[in-house]
Amino acid sequence: MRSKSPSIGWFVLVVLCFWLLVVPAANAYVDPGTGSYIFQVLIGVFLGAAVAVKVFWRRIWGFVTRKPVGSTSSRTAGPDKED
Amino acid sequence: MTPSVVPSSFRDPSGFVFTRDQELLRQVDASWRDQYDLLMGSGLYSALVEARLLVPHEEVELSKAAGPDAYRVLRPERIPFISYPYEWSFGQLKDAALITLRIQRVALVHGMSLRDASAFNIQFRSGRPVLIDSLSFEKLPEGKPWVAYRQFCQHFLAPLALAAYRDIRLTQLARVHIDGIPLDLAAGLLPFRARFRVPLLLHLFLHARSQVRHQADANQEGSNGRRTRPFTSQAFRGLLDSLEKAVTKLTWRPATSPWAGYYTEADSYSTEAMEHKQQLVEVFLDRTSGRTAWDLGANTGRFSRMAAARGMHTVSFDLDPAAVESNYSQAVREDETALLPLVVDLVNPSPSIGWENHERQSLLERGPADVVLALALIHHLAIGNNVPLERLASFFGGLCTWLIVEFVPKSDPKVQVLLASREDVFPGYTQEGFERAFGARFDIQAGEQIKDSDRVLYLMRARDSR
Repeated sequence: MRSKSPSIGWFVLVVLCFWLLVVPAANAYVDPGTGSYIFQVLIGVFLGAAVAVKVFWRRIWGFVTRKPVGSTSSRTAGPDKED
Repeated sequence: MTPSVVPSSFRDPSGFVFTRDQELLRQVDASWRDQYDLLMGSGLYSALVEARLLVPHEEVELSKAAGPDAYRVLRPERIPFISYPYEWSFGQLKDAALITLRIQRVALVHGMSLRDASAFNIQFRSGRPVLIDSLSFEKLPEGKPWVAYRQFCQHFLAPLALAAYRDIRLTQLARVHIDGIPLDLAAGLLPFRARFRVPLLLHLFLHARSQVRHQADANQEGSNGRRTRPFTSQAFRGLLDSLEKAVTKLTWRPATSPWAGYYTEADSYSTEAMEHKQQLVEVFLDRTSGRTAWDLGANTGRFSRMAAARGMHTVSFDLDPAAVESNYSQAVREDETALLPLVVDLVNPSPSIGWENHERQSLLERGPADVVLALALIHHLAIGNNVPLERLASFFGGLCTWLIVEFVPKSDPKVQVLLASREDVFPGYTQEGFERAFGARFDIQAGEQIKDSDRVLYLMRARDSR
């Protein structure tokens, strides 16, 4: 017997895709800064959490492999290579 | 001598750039005192200059100020040639984007933040991108998101995504949209599959939606006064990580290019002809003098490198993004410091744009150059684009002191290809006609036929040159 949940998932995905398919045009005379500000605050919660998870796993991994936290990787050279 | 404010330097209330007695200077106003002191005192300035991320400056006497309320007057190191994002290859724009994010990371460590992320604030110095605006930093506003986020997405992410996913020519939209490509426009032009890249989905598509959704809110409550949850340092880092990931993953590899193989194709030059042409260019370059060279129609920069090797800062122009990309990649790979490859169509060169048509200079306003190379170019302009020889001579006459130019006659296979699809309405396009037209503006100092070819290479000096 087929489960209903995958079809609901697909339905949601398809709806989401169609929703994302079209981005309405912005009024050129309106400052888009407000939307950028609000959006940034919103995604900041998730992106910050992703960083926290990454740092957590890196610590676990560092503990297991006996490596100091900062030595696993760094994105860029220079003063910003802290973790 | 009266100071002259640089036309692009009027938006910033904290200071401005001006010239006085040929010197390029920047005034820091008293209102920006605390922020400037923090830049210098926090160690951010030294860290950025040491890492070659910020153009260095020195403080000069306050009497050189050009306006009231001056706190400091700076003399930044001068960039030999100011270029604009719509003239950069994909790799140049990508490197400029990544360096902007890197600068922001360093700034955060020092308790400061970039308050704008304009691609116009990045210039190429010794072959590498560098920030030129030392007044772009402010004390990190506690709990606030990145004020330059929108600008970063519009100036960098949108054109890079459009080039990578749709067409490299869409980077030219930056010419029309001086404050970056509007995100709703970018989202509309990008293919559906671009939405499957999470960073692009976030920073372009959903970001654009948010702008549209909240555009009415701007009238009710300003973004700065809005009460929202604080933006943590971890959120800031997550944002920069995500933007960096978005930019890093974007690539552009030209499938085919009509120009990139020009100098390696056997039908353009035989080995003997190419060797002789190179010898002649070297000999002619040695007879010129100057500090700057423009190589017009430079292809992948083979001859530009000859000028650069002689200590001339050489701008290497071509209309083909693939050829310029290849040129830039080589310059980066070989750490060439005197070469700047740029995408420019000579038939429609960069105009002056922005406020009062003065904010960003046209290509010709950024000249003249001491030496101009125009190799394998004249036939494209004269026959391919119907520009009369007299107008070409006048154009080059206003552009340089020394001209090394190649005349490609009608008998050449490449000209035959051009004439195959059009009526030959160019009776004056002969070697005699060429010499007559250019002789009116230049002293023809040498002219020699390239071996195993009908092409002729000339060395000329402009009549009214210094």
